[in-house]
Amino acid sequence: MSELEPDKRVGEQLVSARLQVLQSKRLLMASNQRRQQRRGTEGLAERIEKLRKEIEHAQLAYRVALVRWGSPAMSDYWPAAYSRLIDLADHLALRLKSAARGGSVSRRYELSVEVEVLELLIQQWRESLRLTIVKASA
Amino acid sequence: MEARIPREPAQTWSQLPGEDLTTSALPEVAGWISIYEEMGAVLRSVISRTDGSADMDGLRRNLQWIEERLGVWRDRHAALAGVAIDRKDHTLIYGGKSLRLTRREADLLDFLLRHPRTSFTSKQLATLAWQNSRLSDAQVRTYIMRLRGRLRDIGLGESITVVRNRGYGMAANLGGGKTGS
Repeated sequence: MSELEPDKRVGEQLVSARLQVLQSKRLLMASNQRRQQRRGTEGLAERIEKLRKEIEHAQLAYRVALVRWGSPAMSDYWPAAYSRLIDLADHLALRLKSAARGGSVSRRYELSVEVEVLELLIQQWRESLRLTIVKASA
Repeated sequence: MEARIPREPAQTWSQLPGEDLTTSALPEVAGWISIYEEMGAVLRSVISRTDGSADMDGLRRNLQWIEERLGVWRDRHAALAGVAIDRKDHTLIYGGKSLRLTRREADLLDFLLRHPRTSFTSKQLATLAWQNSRLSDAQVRTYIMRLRGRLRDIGLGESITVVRNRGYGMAANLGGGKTGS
C-alpha cells in the first residue's frame, strides 16, 4: 500500500475483475446446487465443496482489492474494510491467546493485555460494520 | 458505541522485564508483526480515503495504538534475535561478535529486522529503507549481496532471504535458531 500502487483506473479494474470472479463462482455454485437438488447426484457434493472454498478465497481477494484500491463511495467499501480489520484482529487475538497458554505468568499477563485491547477494537469495528450495513440497506 | 482503549496497560507492558526470550518465540513474534502491519496498512488506506468522515478520529486512534504496538513488537523481535545495531557508529552486535557496517548497510539491515517475514522489491527497499527512490535494482541487489556476505562472517549469512520474483526479506528465525543473548 505504498508508492507502488497502480493508478486509480487500474485499481478500479482490479476490484471489478475480482468481483466478477466472485460472482461467476457464486453462479456456478447456485447452478450446481440446483442440479444436486433436482437429481440428487452424489458426485456433485465434492464439486460443491470445492466451489465453496473457491468462493471463500474469491471473497477474500475481492475484499482485499476493494479496501486497497476501491473508493468509499462504493456501497461495499465500508463493510469490506471493517470485515477485513475484524478478520485480522480476530486472527491476531487468537494467536496471541494460544501463545499465552504455555508461557510464564508475566508473559501471560503481557499477552492478555494485548488481547484485551484487540478485543475492544474488534467490538468497535463490529459496531461500525453493523452501522455501515444498516446505512447501505436504508 | 464508543469503545475505549486503555492506555496504561500498554505502557506497563513495555516496561516489564523480557524474561521469556526463547528462540521459539521468534517466528511467533514475526507472525504477529506481519498481522499488525497488515492491519496498519488497511487502516492507513481507509484513513487516506475518508477525509471528513465521522469515523476518522476513531480510526486514527486505532492506527496510533497499532503503530505503538508494532514498535514494541519490532524491538522485541530484535531483542529476541539477539541483534543490536548501534546507530551512532553503524556497528552490528550479534552473538558476542561485532561488525562495523556502512550507513547504508545499517539502514537496510535495521529496516529488514523491523519487518520480519515480509518481502520487499528493490524499489520498495530503496524508498523505504533509504528514502532514495533513484537507486537502481542492480544497485540494491549489490548492497544486498554485499551485506549478506558480511553477515556470513558473524553467523547471520542466511538471515536475509532472496524470494524469487518477490524480492528480499528477513528470515523469522535468525542465525538458524541461535540467539546471541
